[in-house]
Amino acid sequence: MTVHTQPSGVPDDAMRRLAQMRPGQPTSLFTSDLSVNEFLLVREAGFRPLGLVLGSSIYHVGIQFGRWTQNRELDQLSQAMYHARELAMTRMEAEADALGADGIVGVRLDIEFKEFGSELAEFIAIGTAVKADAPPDSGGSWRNRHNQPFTSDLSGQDFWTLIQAGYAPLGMTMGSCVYHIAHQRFWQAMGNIGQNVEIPQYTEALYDARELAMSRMQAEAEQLGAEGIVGVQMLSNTHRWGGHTTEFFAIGTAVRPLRPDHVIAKPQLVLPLTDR
Amino acid sequence: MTGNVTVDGWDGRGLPPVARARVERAAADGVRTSLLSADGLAGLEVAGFDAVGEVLGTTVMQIGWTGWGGCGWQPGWGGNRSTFLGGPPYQPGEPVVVTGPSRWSGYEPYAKAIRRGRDTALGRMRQEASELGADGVVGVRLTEERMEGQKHEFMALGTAVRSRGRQRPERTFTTDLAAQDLAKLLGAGWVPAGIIYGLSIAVRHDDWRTNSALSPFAGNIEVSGYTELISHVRAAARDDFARQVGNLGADAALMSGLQSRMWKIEAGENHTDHAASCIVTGNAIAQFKTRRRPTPSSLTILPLRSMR
Repeated sequence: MTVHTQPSGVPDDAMRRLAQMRPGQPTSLFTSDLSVNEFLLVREAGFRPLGLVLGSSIYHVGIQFGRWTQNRELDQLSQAMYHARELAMTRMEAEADALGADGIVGVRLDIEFKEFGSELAEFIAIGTAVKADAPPDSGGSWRNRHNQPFTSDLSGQDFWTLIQAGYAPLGMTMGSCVYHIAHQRFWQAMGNIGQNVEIPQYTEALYDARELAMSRMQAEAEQLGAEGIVGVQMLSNTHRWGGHTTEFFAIGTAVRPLRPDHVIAKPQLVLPLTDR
Repeated sequence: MTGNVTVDGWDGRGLPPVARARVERAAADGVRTSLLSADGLAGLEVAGFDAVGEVLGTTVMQIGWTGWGGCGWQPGWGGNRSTFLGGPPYQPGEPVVVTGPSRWSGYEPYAKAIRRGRDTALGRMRQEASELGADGVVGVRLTEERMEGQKHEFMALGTAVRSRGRQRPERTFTTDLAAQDLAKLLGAGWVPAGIIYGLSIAVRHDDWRTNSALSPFAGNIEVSGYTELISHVRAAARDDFARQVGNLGADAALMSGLQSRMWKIEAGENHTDHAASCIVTGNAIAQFKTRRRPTPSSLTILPLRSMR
């Protein structure tokens, strides 16, 4: 085995630093919402955290009614859900830009419906702005083609692996589609009682809605000149609209290659002594 | 707390008698208790610390909504503007931050009470630790629980640890990181300096701008007044958070939690205002030069484990 455990030592240097701490010393202060693992890995990947960045938008999502018996996209709602997220993301990116960041890692995008207003929701984007110690080996900049900091919802661990494998994140890409799934007609529902059958209009509706969300995400990646999208999540959420109206939301990180080969060092095999 | 004395004769200063008795017993008998897992204990070993004992600090505070004066102000009057990112000058229509010294300190007593609760719990925990001869407290859980009425219990619970070396820190450090994380941080040349938090509360007067956006016929529209309010509160809490790092003399902070809340206030007849609060909790960390150990580099591994 080539694994060496760290020798256990005496943390005198660390304790000395604590003993020497004085309020208000000039420091290169930064804040981040990374975990310890993520923080250390992001540093190892050659990036310095600059600060926590966030963007938020409280949005009134309008109402739209679909015909009871019709499969269709509720485009008003799709637009609202997309626009509000876009606002939050853009504000977060503006904060990062003001800090002179190369990118934002560990971005989380959340929606919270407020108790005091049935159509009110807060959209929030939060992440850690980072700056690279050096430009990429292939030349150019870490920023994307619009000269904006890259964004990535990958964890620090995934970010490290991605950089090791010769890829760089370009930006988070997303697509949203709010879809109304038709109710079954009475006789159709009666006819299906007690039977194991496919309900084609349901299948079709779910297909269509997901396809729309994914193609919108893909279009964003094409705009960024990406080679692909990693870590895609396909979420479906009814929020507060009841059973037949669902938002399909696709989100992932668009990436570009930094070098032609994408080989990483062969991982060491380990046999964990725990089940989990 | 002045004038209140419990049946045990404790006046709220220092540690309660039971806590003092427990600390004295622990210091005398040499039995070491800890809240660490087996992994945590291994992490502590690598970091060069020994567990000294579990330590607790708790306080129950009555928090009433004193100081609230009803609907008395318009947005954009007074208040402290956040200087985060060197924002633009004050604009009318902005929310009023009521924590910190300001003309409109309606919620200042509330914010003060929360600060006092958290600080007292953490302080008592630290006091127990230092009386046990510890250098720091790891794996701290800081909780706030609302009890019946307007009573809030603040509790800090953690494991006191002592360095194996000769150097002692000036002040007992606290961290909500696990012992494993402490080991990794120390290995990379960072030491936790203390748990810190930033707190901010603000009120915004509802006006035509918020009300018009809330009409059912408004369609898809951003409620910019509320967005301003919540953004303002978060920015102020983050400013406060960053200030705490500087006050400690640390270099950086790892945020471990951000809670924000927004609620409606019935300010007067047919009129409501909105208030928002935000609390950012995390660990201040300080960088140090170490000659002894190289920074550990990560090792890619593939666990041979079945996915069940």
